[in-house]
Amino acid sequence: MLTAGFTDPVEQAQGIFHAVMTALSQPGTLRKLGSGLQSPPLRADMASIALSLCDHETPIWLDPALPATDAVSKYLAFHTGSPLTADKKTATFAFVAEACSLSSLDEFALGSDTYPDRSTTIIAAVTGFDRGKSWRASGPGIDGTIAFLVDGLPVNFAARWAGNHSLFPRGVDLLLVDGTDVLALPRSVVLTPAEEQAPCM
Amino acid sequence: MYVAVKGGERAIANAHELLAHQRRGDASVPEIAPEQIEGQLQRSVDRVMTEGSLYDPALAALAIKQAQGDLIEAIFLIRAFRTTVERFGYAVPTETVAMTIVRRVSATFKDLPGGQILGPTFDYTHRLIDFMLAAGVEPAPPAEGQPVADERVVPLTELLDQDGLIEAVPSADTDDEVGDLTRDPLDFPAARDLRLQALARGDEGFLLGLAYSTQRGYGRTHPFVGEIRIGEIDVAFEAEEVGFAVPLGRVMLTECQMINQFAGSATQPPQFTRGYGLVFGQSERKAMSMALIDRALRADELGEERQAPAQDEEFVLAHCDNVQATGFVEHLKLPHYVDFQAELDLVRRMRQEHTVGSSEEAAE
Amino acid sequence: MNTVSGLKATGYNFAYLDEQTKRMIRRAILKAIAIPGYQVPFASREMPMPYGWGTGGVQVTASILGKADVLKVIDQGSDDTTNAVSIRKFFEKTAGVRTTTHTGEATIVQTRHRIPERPLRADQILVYQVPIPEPLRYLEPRETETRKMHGLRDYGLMHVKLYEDIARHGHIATTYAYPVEVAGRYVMDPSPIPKFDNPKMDMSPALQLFGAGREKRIYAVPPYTHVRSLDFEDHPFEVQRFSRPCALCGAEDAYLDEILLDDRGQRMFACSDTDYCEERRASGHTGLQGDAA
Repeated sequence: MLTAGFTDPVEQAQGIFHAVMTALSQPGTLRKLGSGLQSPPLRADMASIALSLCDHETPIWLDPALPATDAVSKYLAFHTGSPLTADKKTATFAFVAEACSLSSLDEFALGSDTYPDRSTTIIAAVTGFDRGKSWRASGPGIDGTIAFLVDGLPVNFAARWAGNHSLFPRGVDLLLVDGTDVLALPRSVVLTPAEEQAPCM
Repeated sequence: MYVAVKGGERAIANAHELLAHQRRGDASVPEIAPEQIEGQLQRSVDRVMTEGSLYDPALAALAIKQAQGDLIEAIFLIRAFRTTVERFGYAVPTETVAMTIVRRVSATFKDLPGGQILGPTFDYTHRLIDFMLAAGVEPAPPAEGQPVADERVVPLTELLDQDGLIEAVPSADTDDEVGDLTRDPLDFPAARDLRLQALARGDEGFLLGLAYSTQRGYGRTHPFVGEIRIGEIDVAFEAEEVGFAVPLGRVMLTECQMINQFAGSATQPPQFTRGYGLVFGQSERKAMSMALIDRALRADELGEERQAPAQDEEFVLAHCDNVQATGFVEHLKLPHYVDFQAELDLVRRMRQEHTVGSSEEAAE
Repeated sequence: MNTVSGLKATGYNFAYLDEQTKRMIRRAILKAIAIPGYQVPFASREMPMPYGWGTGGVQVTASILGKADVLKVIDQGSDDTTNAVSIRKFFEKTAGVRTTTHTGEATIVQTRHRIPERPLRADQILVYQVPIPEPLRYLEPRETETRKMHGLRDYGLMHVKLYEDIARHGHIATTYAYPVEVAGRYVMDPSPIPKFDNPKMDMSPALQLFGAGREKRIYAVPPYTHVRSLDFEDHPFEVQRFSRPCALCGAEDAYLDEILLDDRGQRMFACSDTDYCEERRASGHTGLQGDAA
């Protein structure tokens, strides 16, 4: 049984896009992702991003660890028309069930020196932005530095991200979602782990 | 006290009212109907459909009326409408071999299977103003010929192909999707499908001038008109739900197959090569220009040295679109007060420095 | 299921563009933000206005616009120039959004050739109309070549050009569309704004989006991003200074238009940013030829 998509596609897609755009422009800040989707087979935050940004021009890589993969692919095929790909290198968008399972970022499309935009945007779920490891970020979009918490990133994420950033202007962009908010890490961002014990903010 | 100019909105509305009034012209003369344009100014309609990339004679006629006969403006109207039209997919490729021919000429052989059919043409008309037309004299009924009915008229190039004298028609890979420069930004180097699309949409005058330049030594291609054919052909669409090709209607096309010399290379013996032109309606000038430029643009592919504008893909493709060109040229009418002020200031400063500099020199 | 909600009385979708086109442009915008200063190719549509008259800016605005947005459109700094009026009308008609002439009230400002004098905020977006997005275009006309230069960060040609200016004229002879380096990586064309406006781009709290419709490119400067006007140690970047204040509001920090008053050489200088000028006059500032509104 397919569940419905947006009730007001024009307005809802604009709302989700606006949240993602603001998140990418101001890395490290949280943006609300109001979804308005009725029980999609995929997490509502991921489903709403998919319905807002994906279509037949954007191959999607779906994490096999996502529950109900079959229902999800049918849902995405119907609502977005996006082709699914098993090859991360050809994915425009990748949906990752748990950010902590993110293996090396360079398995995805990284773009080329002349076309760095031909890269994957990864949407990965974390367990929360109110606890976990503390990070400090700087770069375009950030006035000086910004500190934030993320629970659910892989252990060696700092090194992986540094590797991704070092490829600039190539590289992937990351959208972290926790069910309510989105926090974006564009490839331009420099990330350093703050104190091991997450300090109070 | 100085008061800045205001009321742009009112001015625009007034200007457009005046334009509509001007379009109507003398009210004592009957207004022209789009059907008259469609039926009696067919060559204008054809050009608007070709460069507007939309086969709809009635709509093109209306656009010509709205544009007061300014064809580039009419093409612009059609293009802007076209982008809003929903797409269902690609039609089944048409085979021009199956065309119901109204005109067919070859400059390479005196006679050939299928014959030469002169058809309706301006060729050999004496360009004398026909004052009888002003009086509204009905033309004599045309001579009735035997219709070249639904019989496959093999193109000349195919006949040459049998002897290997001409390069083979590049066979289309059906898995390869046809490019569409209206949906994807054009990358260079562009594939031939995209080049042909750009040329078909390209400005007739620009293409004509470039094609002419190849005949005058700027990228010479040694062309012969293998064949020009004009006629109607069925267009069909394969709808997935139905499982067979649904006929959509018939379109009038002009096709030009140009045959060009090729000296051969280390790996290939000398043989003729091809340039291709295809447009909506009846326009040999445009189809021939397109075919000449198509061939000139194949310089890299055929290992020829690129020296002339017509061989320069970026130059040709980036500048052949008249809607883009007219927009950018005419945008110079828009206010540039701010930039001009910046330049004014610089020129004044440099003139001042120049004066100071020369008086210092004089003092030395 | 319900696309009808987006259809306005005009028969077109909200803000004219269809949703598929908006998605395509939105994806390009996201990439542009992630790679500051890089020109993202996009499948620019044919708009019901001519190329070169703001089709890129209009497509960007149409793709980011929501029902709650308040739109301001300026051309040469003024809300009342004909093309600004025409674009504002287009969005009033196709999107039904609220429009304003007050920079402070707008959530989106679409502009041609100016950056408003009033500093922008983090909740505002500035959309530039761009005629030629490629800063290297007049030095190297070939896209295949300029793309390589950007890829290799090879901007030698640009420096040679600026240096030749200095050799010939004693200073850099570029007064508008003055090239900038964004976030230490890409050299970018800021659109034909006077170089007077260049410093406003640096570390601006507002997101800046650039749309070039005919040339099919979108690029961006995220908020709080370093934007450096190219220069040399011995010839640092300088902005144009006006020798007199605005004749209407007395502003000394604003870019001025020169206005010819008669055919005997009488002229006056007044703010090019008409909203800025009006607000200053409304709050009591006055110049030599103006009176407080």
